[in-house]
Amino acid sequence: MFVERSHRPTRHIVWGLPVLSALLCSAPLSAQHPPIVEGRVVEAGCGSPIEGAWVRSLEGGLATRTQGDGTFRLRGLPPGLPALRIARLGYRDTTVLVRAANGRVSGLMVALTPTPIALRQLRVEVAGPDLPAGAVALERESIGRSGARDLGDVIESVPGVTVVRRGGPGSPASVSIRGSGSGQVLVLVDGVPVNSPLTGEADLSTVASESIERVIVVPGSRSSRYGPRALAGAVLVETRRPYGPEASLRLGGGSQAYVSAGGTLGLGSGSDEGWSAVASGEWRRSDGDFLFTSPDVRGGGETRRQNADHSLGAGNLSVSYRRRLFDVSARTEFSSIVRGMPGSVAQPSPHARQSQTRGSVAVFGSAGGERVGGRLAFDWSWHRAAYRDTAPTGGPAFDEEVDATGIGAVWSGFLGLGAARVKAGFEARRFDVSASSLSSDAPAVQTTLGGWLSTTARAVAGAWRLQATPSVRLDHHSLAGGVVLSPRLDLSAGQGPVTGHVSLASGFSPPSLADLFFQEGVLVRPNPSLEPERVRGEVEAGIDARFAPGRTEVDLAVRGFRADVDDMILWSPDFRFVWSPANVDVTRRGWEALARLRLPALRTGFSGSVTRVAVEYRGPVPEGQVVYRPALTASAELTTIVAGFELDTSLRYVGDRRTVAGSSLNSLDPFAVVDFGAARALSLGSWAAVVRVSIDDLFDKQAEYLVDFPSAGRLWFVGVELTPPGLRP
Amino acid sequence: MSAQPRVHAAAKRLALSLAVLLSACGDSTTTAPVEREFLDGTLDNPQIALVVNTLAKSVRLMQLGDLAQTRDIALGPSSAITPVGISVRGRQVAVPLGNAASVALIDPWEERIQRFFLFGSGNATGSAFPDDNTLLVGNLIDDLVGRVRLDQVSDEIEQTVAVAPAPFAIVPDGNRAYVISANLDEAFAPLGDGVVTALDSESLDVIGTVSTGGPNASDAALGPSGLLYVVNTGDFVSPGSLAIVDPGTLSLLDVVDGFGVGPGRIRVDAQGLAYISGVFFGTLVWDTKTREFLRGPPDPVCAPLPSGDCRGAFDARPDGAGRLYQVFFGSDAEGLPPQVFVYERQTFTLSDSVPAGQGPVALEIATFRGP
Repeated sequence: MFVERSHRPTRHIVWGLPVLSALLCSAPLSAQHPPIVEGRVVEAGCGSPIEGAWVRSLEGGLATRTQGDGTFRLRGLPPGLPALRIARLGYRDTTVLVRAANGRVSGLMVALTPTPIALRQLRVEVAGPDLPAGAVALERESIGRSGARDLGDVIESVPGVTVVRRGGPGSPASVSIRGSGSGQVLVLVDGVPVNSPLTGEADLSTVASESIERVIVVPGSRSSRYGPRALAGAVLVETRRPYGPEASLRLGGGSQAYVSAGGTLGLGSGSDEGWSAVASGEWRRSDGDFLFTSPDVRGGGETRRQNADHSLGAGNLSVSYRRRLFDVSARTEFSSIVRGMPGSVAQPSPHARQSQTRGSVAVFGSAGGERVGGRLAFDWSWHRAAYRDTAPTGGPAFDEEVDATGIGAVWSGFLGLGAARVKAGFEARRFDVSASSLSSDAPAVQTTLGGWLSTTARAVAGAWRLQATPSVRLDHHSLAGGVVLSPRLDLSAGQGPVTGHVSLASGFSPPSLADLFFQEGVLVRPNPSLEPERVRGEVEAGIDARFAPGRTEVDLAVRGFRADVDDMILWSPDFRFVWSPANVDVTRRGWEALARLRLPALRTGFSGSVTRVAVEYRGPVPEGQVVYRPALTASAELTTIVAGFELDTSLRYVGDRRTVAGSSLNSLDPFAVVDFGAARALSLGSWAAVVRVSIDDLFDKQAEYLVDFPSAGRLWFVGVELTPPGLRP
Repeated sequence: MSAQPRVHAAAKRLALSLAVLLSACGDSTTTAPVEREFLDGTLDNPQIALVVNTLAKSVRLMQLGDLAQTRDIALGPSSAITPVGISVRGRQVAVPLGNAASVALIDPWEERIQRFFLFGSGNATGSAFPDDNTLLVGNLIDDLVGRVRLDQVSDEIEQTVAVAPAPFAIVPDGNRAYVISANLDEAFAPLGDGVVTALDSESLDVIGTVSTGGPNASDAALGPSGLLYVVNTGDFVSPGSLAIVDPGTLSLLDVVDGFGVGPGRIRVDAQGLAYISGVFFGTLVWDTKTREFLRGPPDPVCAPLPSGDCRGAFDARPDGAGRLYQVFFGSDAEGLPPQVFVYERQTFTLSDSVPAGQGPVALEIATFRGP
């Protein structure tokens, strides 16, 4: 009846189109009557008609929607084997090829499978050549539906990941993986580091979710592949990929006078070859003010949080040209944010402002086939920031600026040798940094030179699937001093639905310029003798299992790890309240458990995860858990579809956090935040629309991860995404 | 924290009941012990030490008769809470909370904070009780001293008086109070020598000022002779000095040099011995009568390190029996935990040490047991 494909038609079908078209076009009379396709879309399994499903021609841009009985009629298709994409919220998209001839009416019956709901988390993949064990991949489809506004929102529910915000939407957000510091997680956007060359930390609030095509969170020491800062993990962001003609317009609003507007425009053939391009832009702003409960030490009662506004503009442009064995692409991603820095609620700073501009341009070229290939990338990035407070509540006024420009070149290649695959690469990177907050002896240039080699060997022994991946990287980082060797060994063995894996790895993170050369001033003192943070001999072991009993899909994963950090860099006050960084040895050990259940027949999915990490000082002074490292974190999400509404309820739990090194006094209480979202596909004439309503912090907990930095509490947002007739969103 | 006292009280009641029961069952004439609260101290020593732990943001209470018996009163998690001092009068305990710009009034019996008094902004530093119902609090940033009545309805510190810049300490003296100002600018650089501002604690009128004859005055104590001894901490590079002020005439009588690098807190006991502590050397003992060191910079009272050097001390004061209690801040970098060291009377021989909380900076010794 039909040819079903999960994505775009394959190349040989497309090549056959001109021949078929030529044959069909030879009939002159029938050419006066273009092809018509009539059909019906039903639910796989039960045969119930599906109303409101989009039926789109990938070549010509024609589109229509199904009626209440699931039927549709599409007129004007090009003769031949045009590809139709049938999509409906709550069902897996399907692309079919239909035989269309002038003067004829073709029939088509399509059965859509209820969606394995695109959960925001737990897209857990078993070890593969491109996705390491434990990695979590989040795709555009789930990101778009999640209501996430920035990269922090996107990854905050990933097991082991903690996103630390200093307030409501638009406030700075940093990431910790398995109790790490924020400077120990490398965040790459299209291969370009987002981590600040000044502080080493990545501000996730500056990466707009609309620019993201895919995010992969890779926990564990990954310096063997990604080099400096990937001590506790890496967050790999790929910006939007061009797919051919597409367009959408996004509008939104909500609490705190939140307003957003954005759009996406894609051009190109839509096929696997040739030119294509996509551009996406987003603007948003909010007042940011909210009422919060003032701490007792400042009198208690409700107080209005002020100077918490933000305004963000972000965008990306990707241009790609593909031929059979090579492709060339250029991507640029940028953001500019202006926001108030309201300070802590005990010591507010009503006049402090920050403006920050960040972006990158990357050009990629790759060539090769199944057995051998290579990729070359060049990038240029910039980071500019200004921090001003003309009237601080304590101390003198300040006006600081940071200006950093980076260039990088990365070559990587692979070679298939029987059952083994060898990968190698080289990376050179340079940052020119100037910051008024640094002392005069701070180096103006940071450089990284690194090379890596990895081999993956696979074998099958009886019912066992075996895989071994030894890898090593050598780095010279100008702030790390000397050459650093980062080896890693991954082993896995699987049988049936169960795969076990074990890894041994090392990683490092150099001290930041701010750690080493922060301009000494009142209550702050740098430490120029800091050593790089090192993880030597991280051990991780785990089991992943995937079952499909009946019409249910179940994923389970359990893993334990030990990743002690030598010389973790922690800031603490001395007896004069002068804050300074110091190297401190800590133990870092824990486990994660994940579960995912999908019930396609009920259009329901559930996922949950628990992570427990003890990050403790290794010496007797001080002792116990490191501050702001919750030993226990958990998340859960339930997604279902009811009466055409996709409903999503998620919960994040953060355990108690110490605020004082060596003391459990004055710890912050655990909190759980529930977010809720609902989405509905609508038809506005010939336009398609998806309306989404989301409520953050449904129960208005106003939880504060960091003391004196309360979250905004319950916020609501409404957004609509409009798609012009005949185009995919 | 609030549940802890109840648990202890319940345990005591249970122990008491068992004791009564056991005595009833036997033929002994033993009577049931009198139930004592923690603040009563031990049977033979009612004194309680109160240690301000600035990093832990807490006050640790220790029975001097049994230093292992402690209670911690949390002051709150706010990062703005940076306490550096404590005042005790009768049953009242006040802890200025530094950057939080407020002062906590603590109920040591309930082991909780009764209430806060708030400045609008600034940094609350020194404090003093001129009488049972009045509290004076210094504001280091806003260069003023505020006064509250403990029974006032408002939590605001509304009555204030401007004093010399950077007031660090307040010494009550009858209906007067002497405010010790370091005389620093916004960047904490000296504007000149320290200044003592004499206030009428009832009217808050400024009676007069007197220079301390040295930079960065940080603390003071009245001696039994009625003279005021003011520590000029200096620049933490060259040795500090001790100013001797006649509070009656508000005149600087003398400035004695050679008090070690960075001297800080000073206590003077009833015998006229001054205990001056410094974070670089420990505690000096200086006789206000003879104006001579009993333990000078070459041989301060200190807990020695394995290297022979001294641990520093933020504060030290003697108890009623003359034993000296000294708080050591600790050093994470050197693996040295914060501790309270105990020295014997007169000989200053180190006799005991117990853990303090994180970041001990101030010490008071009080007796709460009733008559």
